[in-house]
Amino acid sequence: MDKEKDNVLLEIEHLRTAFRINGKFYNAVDDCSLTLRKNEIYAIVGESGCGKSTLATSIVGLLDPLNSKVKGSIKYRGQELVDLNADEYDKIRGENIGMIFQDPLSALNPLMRVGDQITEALYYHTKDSEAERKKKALELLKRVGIPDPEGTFRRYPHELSGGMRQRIIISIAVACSPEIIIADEPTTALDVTIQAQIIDLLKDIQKEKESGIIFITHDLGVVAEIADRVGVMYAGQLVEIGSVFDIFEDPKHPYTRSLLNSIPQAGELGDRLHVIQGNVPPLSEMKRSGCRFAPRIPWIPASAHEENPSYHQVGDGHYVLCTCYQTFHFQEEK
Amino acid sequence: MWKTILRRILLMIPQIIILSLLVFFVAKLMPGDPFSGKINPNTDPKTIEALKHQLGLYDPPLVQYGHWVQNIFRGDFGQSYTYNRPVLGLIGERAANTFWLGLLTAVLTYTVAIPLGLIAGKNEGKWPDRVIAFYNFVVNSVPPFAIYLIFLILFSFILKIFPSTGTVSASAHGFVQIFFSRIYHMILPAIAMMLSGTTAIVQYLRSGIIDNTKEDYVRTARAKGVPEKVIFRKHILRNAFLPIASSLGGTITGLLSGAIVAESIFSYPGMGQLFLQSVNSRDYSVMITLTLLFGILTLLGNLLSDIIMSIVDPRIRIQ
Repeated sequence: MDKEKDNVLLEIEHLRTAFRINGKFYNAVDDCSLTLRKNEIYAIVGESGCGKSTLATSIVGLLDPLNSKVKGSIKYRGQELVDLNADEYDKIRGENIGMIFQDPLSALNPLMRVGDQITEALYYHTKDSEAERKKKALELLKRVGIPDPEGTFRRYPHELSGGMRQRIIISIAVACSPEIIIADEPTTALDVTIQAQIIDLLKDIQKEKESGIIFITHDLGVVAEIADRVGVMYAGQLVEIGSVFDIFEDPKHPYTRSLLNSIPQAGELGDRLHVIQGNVPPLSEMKRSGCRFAPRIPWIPASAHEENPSYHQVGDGHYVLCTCYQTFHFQEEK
Repeated sequence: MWKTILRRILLMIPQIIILSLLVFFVAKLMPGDPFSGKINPNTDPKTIEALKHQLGLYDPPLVQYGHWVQNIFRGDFGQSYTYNRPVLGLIGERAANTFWLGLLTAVLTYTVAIPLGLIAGKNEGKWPDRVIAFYNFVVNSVPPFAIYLIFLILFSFILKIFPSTGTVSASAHGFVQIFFSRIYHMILPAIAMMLSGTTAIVQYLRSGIIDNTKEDYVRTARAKGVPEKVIFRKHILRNAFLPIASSLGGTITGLLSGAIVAESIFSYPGMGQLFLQSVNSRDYSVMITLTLLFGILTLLGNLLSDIIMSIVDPRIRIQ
């Protein structure tokens, strides 16, 4: 029991994150719960606008406090993060939770040398001297596979390629060996060969440091490659949670199935690509009751949905929201 | 870098030659001559004609240009017809006045504009920002010459706080007295010129702060756990100052063009006033020399801008 408790890094319960739109607050993340354990890569997948990034940003407390509200509970090793003030959060960010961002081209300060941007993270979380910080930064650069650490230390971001910059951002995120790394679409802005390298690097670092990673992406290929557990997100809710095998081999929720169906297969040359009808509704127009995916699967009778969707366990650690999954396979694709 | 600067300066030579040609011929194309309206109408026209011949005003323009260039290389920029003295000495005297006025204006402009921009940027949408936006709006909508006139009438003639002409009072003696008297004479035009200079800087700084706060690298810094104060100073402010640094060289041009009007209105004997007088009285050698000088200063200002940019922004390297 204690060991299990030791393994839990992050416990998110009933998280609701709302944004102000025209003076009213709308939940972008609506009642999300998840548990991240040591040595685990937890992937969150979903379409654009489903709340993935909001979830990630809520965890590190980087939302604009004036225009957003975070409710529920985010516990890092038992410590509640939601009520922390800015100073307290600064101590956790970078030291216990590292974050990797989507666009390596804009995530580095163009006026600062790369080395200084890495040592800056160390400055606020360690008591190291300047020389020690530099030594550590050089080691980090070497670790993330930068060919010329000494030279790169003195370079400016614009002198490096996108892949190199993403490596720098990773080295910043892991500078203080945080237990949790939150990667918000870290490979989206990179081309495919670089993507594979970055994913391998992340996996290596995760193994080495035994950290837990929350990996946000819309790319199911990447999920299959990297994740241990997967949370499928739709309209601010996790509609299906399971191991990577559950999700890919035995998907239950109609949304998960549609997502998997939408991956073009090599053999299907010339066939029409599968598309999920409709769009993720905008925040202010989203319906707040019932199954949120229902409008996009109109061929499923209303009676198949729950009025207040709840999680149903369909396997070990495999949960699905709403009962509509039971009828889905009869009427798929009509 | 020094090589580049030297090359840029050498490249300025053809630009200056073209500028001098343009300035010279456009000046000659202007109707009238140095005698228009200036000479006793009862003078024998023959005398005037003789004078014009003597001054070389009937030579072909190219010949006149040749003479002029030749003389420049001898250090002779010609005689002022109006003041009847060498142009170089005349401009030299006036240049010092304009330099001090420009310097004071620039110092005032930045000391006022930077805090205003900071306050506005940090309080986006709140009342300090709105007050500053209103100030910007008012100052920007009133043409500079009108501001100068209002200042002159209000502070010199109605309130009688500041002198309306000159650079120094005749009664001032000794270094200290002269120093303060000079500042006292400059302060009104300097403040008036400062007003129109501030708006752009305030606006650049304000939007720089607001835009940079939303930048991804600021979020990265926050994710690193850098305290908000340090983020503002180290990440936001430095980046927000870039456009201001690049406009520094341009202020030279701005100050000069401002000086032409301001000095004339405040009867401040500087280059600007001299320039307007020389145009009005067809004082060719003064007018041409001043235009050329303004042109060279503008070119130098541009070069200065590029140099400053290459120092503050690593993405820009002049080669």
